[in-house]
Amino acid sequence: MWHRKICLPVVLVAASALAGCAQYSPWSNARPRPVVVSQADLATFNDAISLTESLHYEAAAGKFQQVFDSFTIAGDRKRAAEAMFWLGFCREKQHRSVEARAIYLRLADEYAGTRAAHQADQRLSRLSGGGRRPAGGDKH
Amino acid sequence: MNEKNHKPDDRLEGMLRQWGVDESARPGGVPPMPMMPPLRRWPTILLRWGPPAAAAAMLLIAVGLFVAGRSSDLAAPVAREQEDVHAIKTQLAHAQSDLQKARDALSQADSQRVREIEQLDAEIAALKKDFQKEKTISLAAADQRITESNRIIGEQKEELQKVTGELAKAGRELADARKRYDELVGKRDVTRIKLAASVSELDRVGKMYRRTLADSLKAQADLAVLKVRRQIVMGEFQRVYLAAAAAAGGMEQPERWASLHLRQSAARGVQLLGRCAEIRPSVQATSTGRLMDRLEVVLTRLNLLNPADPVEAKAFAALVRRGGLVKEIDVALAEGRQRADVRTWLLEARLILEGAENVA
Repeated sequence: MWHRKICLPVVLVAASALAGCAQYSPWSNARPRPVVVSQADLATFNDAISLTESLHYEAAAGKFQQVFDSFTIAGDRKRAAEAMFWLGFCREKQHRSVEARAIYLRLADEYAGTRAAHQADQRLSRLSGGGRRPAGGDKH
Repeated sequence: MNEKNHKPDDRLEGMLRQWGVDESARPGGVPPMPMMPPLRRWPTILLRWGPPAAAAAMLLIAVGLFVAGRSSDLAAPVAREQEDVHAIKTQLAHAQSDLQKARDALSQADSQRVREIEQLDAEIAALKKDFQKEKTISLAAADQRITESNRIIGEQKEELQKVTGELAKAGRELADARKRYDELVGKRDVTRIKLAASVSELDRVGKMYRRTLADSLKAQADLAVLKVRRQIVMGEFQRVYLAAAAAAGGMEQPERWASLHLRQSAARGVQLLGRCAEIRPSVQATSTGRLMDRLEVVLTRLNLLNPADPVEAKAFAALVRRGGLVKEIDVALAEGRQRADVRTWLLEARLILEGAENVA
């Protein structure tokens, strides 16, 4: 009879232990992957921003598209979001508002919480003449 | 034997006859022969006839010897002649032998001389050939040199003609130049008079220039002082502005002076990007509009970057340094043709970006 009395606590303890181990198991999807971004991609990204600063939007957009793919593959969400934002920025400056809006919308949805997504949200609201969401200024 | 050789024999015979006569003429004469008894006749005969017999025998011997001697005298010359002949023959043989040797030597010498002559002839022929060849070459070279000399002489003649023509032309030009020189001398005198007046004017202008230069240097020094003062005032103003703007942006305790984080917070606090979007349409596509577009990119980059990431901070500093935007803002503000809100925005952007190229 004694084993029936301790069965329930033992089962609970075992279940808790398994749940804890599962969080750090190698098969867990929640385990963060190391972010490895090559120096070449970073240099390309900086070159693209320089091109944007020089008002060469088309050339800059090509480079942003290139590094967006690289950052996405590398798992660098922040830089991937920035690359996507700058791509939308270039399209906006090229007066390709439909493309720019689509990019900003995708950015706000897929990379929500990033600074780039917030910036995209603000520019989207200005493009739409009111905004998809209430603009909160540059503060973030 | 010659005739002379017969004379001694005759003399000897004469002497003997003389001796006989003398002996017979002697007074005592020959004593008469004693009479001896018949038993003793033979010795007496012998004594009587012995000496004449002996004399006769001796005479005969002498004659014999004479004949023999004469014959020997006759034979000796023959023998001597024969010896002489033999010697002469021997000498003749030797002489013939020597002559033959001499002939052989002469023949050899002749053949040697012939060979030498032939060799000399060959050498002479070769020398002649070489001489002919050299002569031909020398003649050809001489012809070539003569041709070249003739060509050079022709060219020099042409040059001389040219030079002569140029000389004549130069003479004419010299005459013209002399004429012009005379004119210029006249003008020079006039110019000298004018120059004297100009020099005095120049002295006066130089004094003015030096005075103006001194004023200009003083003004430059004053300007440098003003620039320093302006820089100090702007630096102070920038520090106050950034601190106030960062406080407006939510930064309660300002970090290190002019840090990237401070600039980011200030830009957010004064909402530079939002105001840019509002005032940008009023500027149109002017140089100020393009400047605002570039500043918008830089400020957007500042807004998005992580100030704690040294890689991003370095990239941002390089972007500001490469753009040279602060100087362009100064140029645009110096024009003074913008609206007040645009000028204010440009000035604020300048305050935020000034010195950012050194922040890393």
